[in-house]
Amino acid sequence: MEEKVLDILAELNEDIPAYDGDSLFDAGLLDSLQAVDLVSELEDAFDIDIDAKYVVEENFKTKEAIISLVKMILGENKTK
Amino acid sequence: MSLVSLEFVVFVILTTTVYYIVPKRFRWVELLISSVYFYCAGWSNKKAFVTLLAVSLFTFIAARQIENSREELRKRKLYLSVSVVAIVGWLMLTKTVGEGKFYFLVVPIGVSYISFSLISYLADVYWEKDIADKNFLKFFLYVLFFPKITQGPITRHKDFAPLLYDGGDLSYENICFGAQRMLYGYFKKLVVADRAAVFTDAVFGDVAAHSGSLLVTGTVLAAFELYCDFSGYMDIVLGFTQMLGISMDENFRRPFYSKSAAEFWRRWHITLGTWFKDYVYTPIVMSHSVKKLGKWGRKNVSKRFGNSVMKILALAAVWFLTGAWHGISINYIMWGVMWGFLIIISVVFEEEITRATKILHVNTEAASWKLYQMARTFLIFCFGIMLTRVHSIHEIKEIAYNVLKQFRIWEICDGTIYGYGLDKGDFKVMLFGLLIIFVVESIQEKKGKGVRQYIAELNAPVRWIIYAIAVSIVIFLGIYGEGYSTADFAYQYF
Repeated sequence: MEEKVLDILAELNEDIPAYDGDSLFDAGLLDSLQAVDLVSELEDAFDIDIDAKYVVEENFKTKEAIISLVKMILGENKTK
Repeated sequence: MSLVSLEFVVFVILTTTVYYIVPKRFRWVELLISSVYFYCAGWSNKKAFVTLLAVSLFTFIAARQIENSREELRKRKLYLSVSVVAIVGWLMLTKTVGEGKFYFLVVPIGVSYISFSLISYLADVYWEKDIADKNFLKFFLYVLFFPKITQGPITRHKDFAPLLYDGGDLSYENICFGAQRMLYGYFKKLVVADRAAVFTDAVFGDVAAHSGSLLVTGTVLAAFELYCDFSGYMDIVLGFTQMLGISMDENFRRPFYSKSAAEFWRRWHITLGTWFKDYVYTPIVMSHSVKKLGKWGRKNVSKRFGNSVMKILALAAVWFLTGAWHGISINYIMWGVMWGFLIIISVVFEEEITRATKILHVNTEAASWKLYQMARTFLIFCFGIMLTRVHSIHEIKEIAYNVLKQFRIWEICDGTIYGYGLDKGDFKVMLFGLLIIFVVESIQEKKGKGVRQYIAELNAPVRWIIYAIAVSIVIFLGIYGEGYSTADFAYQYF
C-alpha cells in the first residue's frame, strides 16, 4: 500500500517521495489545487472515499501523514 | 474609535497596563470590558452592539446544539444549515438592503469578518474539529475582540480562542517588538497610504478630466495605498496583540513578490483566502456530486479533464463569492470574475504554459524571468484596483481612451502632477516611505528574518536613536486631520 501511495506522489511531483521536511505545502511541493488531484488518484487507486473533513493540511503535510490517512480510511472501511 | 487617533494610543497603553496588573485567569474579562468599550465608544450606533450580541448568542446556542446532537446526524445537519443560512442571510441583508430599511437591520462595523468567523466556528464544531464554547461571555470576547473586529484577520476559534482565554505572558521582547510593529503600521498608514489617497481620490473623482499618464500614476498609487492601508492596519493590531502576548494570524506575506495570480492570493489577505479554501473550495470539490462528475470525466474523457472540471466548478464559486464578499456591486463582481478567470486559466492550461516556456527556452530560474512574473502580477493587481475604484463601466472606457489617446506623459514631469493636493515634497516623502517598505520587505523575503531582530542586536543607544527617528517620522511626516485623527481604513467597510 505504502509503495502505491509513494508512486502516486511521485507522479504528482517527483520530489515529494524524497522530501523529509515538516510541510510539503511550505516547501512548495504541494498546494490545495494539486491536493485535489492527489485525492482523486488515491480514491481511484484504493477505491476509497476521502471525506471533506479529512482534506485538511495536517493530513497532507508529509508523505507519512498521507499514508496514515489512507491506512485509517482503509481500516474504517474494513470495520464497516 | 479610530485606530489612528490619540484616543486609541491612550486606550492601548491603559488596556495593556491593566491587562498585566490583573491576575492571568481574569485577563480575558479585562479584554472583554475593553472590547465592549471600544465598540460602544467607537461606533455611536448602540443598536449595532445589541445586534452583535444577539447574533453571538444565536451562534453560541447553535454550536452547543450541534455538539449536543453528535449521535443524530440529521439533527446536527439541520442545526448547522439553519444557523449558517441565518448568518449568511443577515450578511446578505446588510450588504444589499442596507441600514434603516427595517428596525432590526443595522450594520455592525466589520459585519463580513464577524459572519465568516461565526460560520467557520459552526462548521468546525459540526466537523468535530472544534469544541463548542461553554461560557457565553468568553465566546462573546472571541467575537468582539477589538483588534480583529473591524478588519480581521478572520481567526479560527479553535486556534485563537484558547490564546485569548488563557491570556499572554509579559515579556520585554513582546512589548518591544509589538510596539515597533505598531509604529511600522502607523508609518505605512499615515506617511504613505493617506498621502497616496489624496492623489488617487482626486484622479478617480473625475477620470474623464485626466490624462492617461495621471490615470496610470493614480492606479499604481492606489495599489500601494490599499496595501499600505490594509497591511498597516494589520501591523497595528498584530503589534498590539503581540504586546499582550497573544499571537494572531498574519494576513500579508509580501504580496508584491508574487509571481502568479494564485501565489498573490496566498500572500494577500491570507485569512480570507484560507477561509474560502477551507469552507467553500474544499467542501465543493469534495462533495459527492462534484466528485462523481470528476470520476465520470476521468473515466470517459481523460484524467486531466475530470480533475479540471472539479477545480473549475469550485474556483468559479470561490471567486464569485470573494467578489460578492467585498461588495454586491458590478465593480466587485467584475473584479472577482477577473481574478477567477486568470486563476482558472492558469490551472487548466498549466501543462501548456510549462511546455511553452520549454519550447521558447525560457530560463524560469533566471532573475529577469522572475522579475517579469512579479511585474505582470503587480499590473494585474493594479488593473483589479482600477475596476474597484471606478464609478461605472463607462468610466473604464474613458480611462482606456485617455490612456491610449490622451497619455500626455509630460504631465508627470512638468508640474501638472503636483496640482492634485500633493506637492513635490509630499511626493518625495511618499516615495521615501515606499523605499523604506521595499527595503524592509526585501530583507524579510531574502533573509527570512525581520528587521526588528536586526535592530534588537544593536547597542542600546543606537536602538533608541532609531526609535526616536521612527517616532519623529510618523509624527512629523504623517497626514493628520483635526485632533490628530485621520482617514478611515479602507477595509473596515467590508
